[in-house]
Amino acid sequence: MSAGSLSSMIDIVFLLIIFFVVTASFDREQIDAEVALPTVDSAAIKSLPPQRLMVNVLTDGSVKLGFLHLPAEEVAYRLSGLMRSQEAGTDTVLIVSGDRDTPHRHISAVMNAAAQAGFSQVRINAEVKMEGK
Amino acid sequence: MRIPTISEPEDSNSMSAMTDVVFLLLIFFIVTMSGYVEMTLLETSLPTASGASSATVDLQNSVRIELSATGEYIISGVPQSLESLTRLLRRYQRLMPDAEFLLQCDPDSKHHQLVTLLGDLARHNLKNVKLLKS
Repeated sequence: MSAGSLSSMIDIVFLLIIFFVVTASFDREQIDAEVALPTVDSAAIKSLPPQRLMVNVLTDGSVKLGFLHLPAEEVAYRLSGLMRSQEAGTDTVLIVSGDRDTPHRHISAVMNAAAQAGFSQVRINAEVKMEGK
Repeated sequence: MRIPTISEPEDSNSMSAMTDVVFLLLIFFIVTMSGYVEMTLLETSLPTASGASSATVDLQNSVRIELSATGEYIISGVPQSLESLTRLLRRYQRLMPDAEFLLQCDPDSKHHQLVTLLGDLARHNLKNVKLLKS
């Protein structure tokens, strides 16, 4: 194999590695850039549930669900819609990624909306405080 | 007929390939390292009405923790600092590991206060946590 074809093969291999790393960490991408997660010292549950729906709650109470930016009053309707269309089921775990400064009333409103929509499990997302930080 | 000979690749070619690889490695490390944040999921229940749950709650085996808007943790009407709360949770872990913790948050309390409390409860292996409607 000539040096030219080897280098292009290495190029392709590295591009594939980058592609897989970026796509595999998509769950991190689901956390909105505007959300500064609260930190905790210890990690309780690290593994992500297989059926999950991540909801970002901003400081003003608006919610980001994937690429959708929803006002607070539309959250219940949207979550119910997900349940009706079977994109989410009763075994789907709702992961609430709230900004650290979000007033609890907004978090509570999202949780109430989820309960009304038929979700039965909820987890609260937090960032684990790294050593030396 | 003369067969044309293939000339040896020049040094500049191998240099450009190496630069390609170096840049790819650089991008790879930037992408993987810059945004790395370890996350955890804290377990709780969906909010239940405080009145409804009190009918089914074993009062002897339940602890009610209130979070005030000013960031205080109140247990049985007594405000606790984070240090004394941790001490209390350590005691509960030893004496009442299956106790039910009912969390009542003020609507104006900040989310990080609840997360700190949930993290503390999880650290002490106290898993029976219920969030009450605020």
